[in-house]
Amino acid sequence: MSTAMARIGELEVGQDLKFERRWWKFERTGWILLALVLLFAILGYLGPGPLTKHVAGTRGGPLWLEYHRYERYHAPVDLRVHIGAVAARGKELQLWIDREYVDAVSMEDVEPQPESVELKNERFVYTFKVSETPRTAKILFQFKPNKFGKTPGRLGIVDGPEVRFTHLFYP
Amino acid sequence: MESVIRGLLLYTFLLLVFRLAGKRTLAQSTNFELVLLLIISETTQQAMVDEDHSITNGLLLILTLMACTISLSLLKQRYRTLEKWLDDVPLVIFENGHMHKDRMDKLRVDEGDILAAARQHQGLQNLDEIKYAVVERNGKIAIIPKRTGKSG
Repeated sequence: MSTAMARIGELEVGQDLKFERRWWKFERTGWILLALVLLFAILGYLGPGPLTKHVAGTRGGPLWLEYHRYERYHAPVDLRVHIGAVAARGKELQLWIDREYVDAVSMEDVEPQPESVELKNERFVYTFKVSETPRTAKILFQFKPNKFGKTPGRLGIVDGPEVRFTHLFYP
Repeated sequence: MESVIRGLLLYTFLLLVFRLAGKRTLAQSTNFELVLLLIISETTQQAMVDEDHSITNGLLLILTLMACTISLSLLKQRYRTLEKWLDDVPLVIFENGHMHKDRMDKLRVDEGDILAAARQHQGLQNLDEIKYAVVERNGKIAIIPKRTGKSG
């Protein structure tokens, strides 16, 4: 408090109207920016949301997956894998995900539960038993990212088609 | 290292958001504002600590926050303009019977708020008994009453 205080009548108060007017403009601009951040979040650009739901592969094809492009570090993520009639054949269904991607996340759950998981040729292979040939199958991978940044992944059916996808994990 | 970055990020973000919210937004003039503050502190705590509940992490976070506060206080002492931008300045909203409506609108304060502060802190009954009303840097309204035997 070394500088002299502004005086309003008898009142010594550090009022600064010039600063206050500049601040009000800055404050209003800040509000607009905060509103834009919220809008972005609602739309899904800062986490899962309606505009950033992606499909990798062709919907209705032998293999496609649904995911949200923007996810967050240590937050639950769903990866829905759809297998079409052509791909789901035989008594066993083997899906693989590239090792680099699986290493970037902590796998929490796979629905339905796979019969086995093994590491083969830098890929995690998930084997599911199928009692009869299903027309289609849905497999849900649930995990939490333990890295942040852009994380590309590959997922496929053993000896079958594969799809590529990219996540952006926010800190 | 991650703890320190988390602490720094959240400190900066909270400083910015609370400052942008304005003097009066979380001045705890209503019960709900107090509840809101508690919710914000709980959310902040979760984002800061994440899954690491170790003592080391806790100590590091506390140290980070304290280091930020001390550094900023030193800078504010040296640069008065920075102090204004970070801490705001008081603003007179009522002066000898004249109400500064434009300032009150910007701060989202009305006559009722002035009277409430006058009742709570000075036991005053109406605006005629008030000489000055000042919105302080913390958003609280300070009331300076008229004194008998002294010109106003």
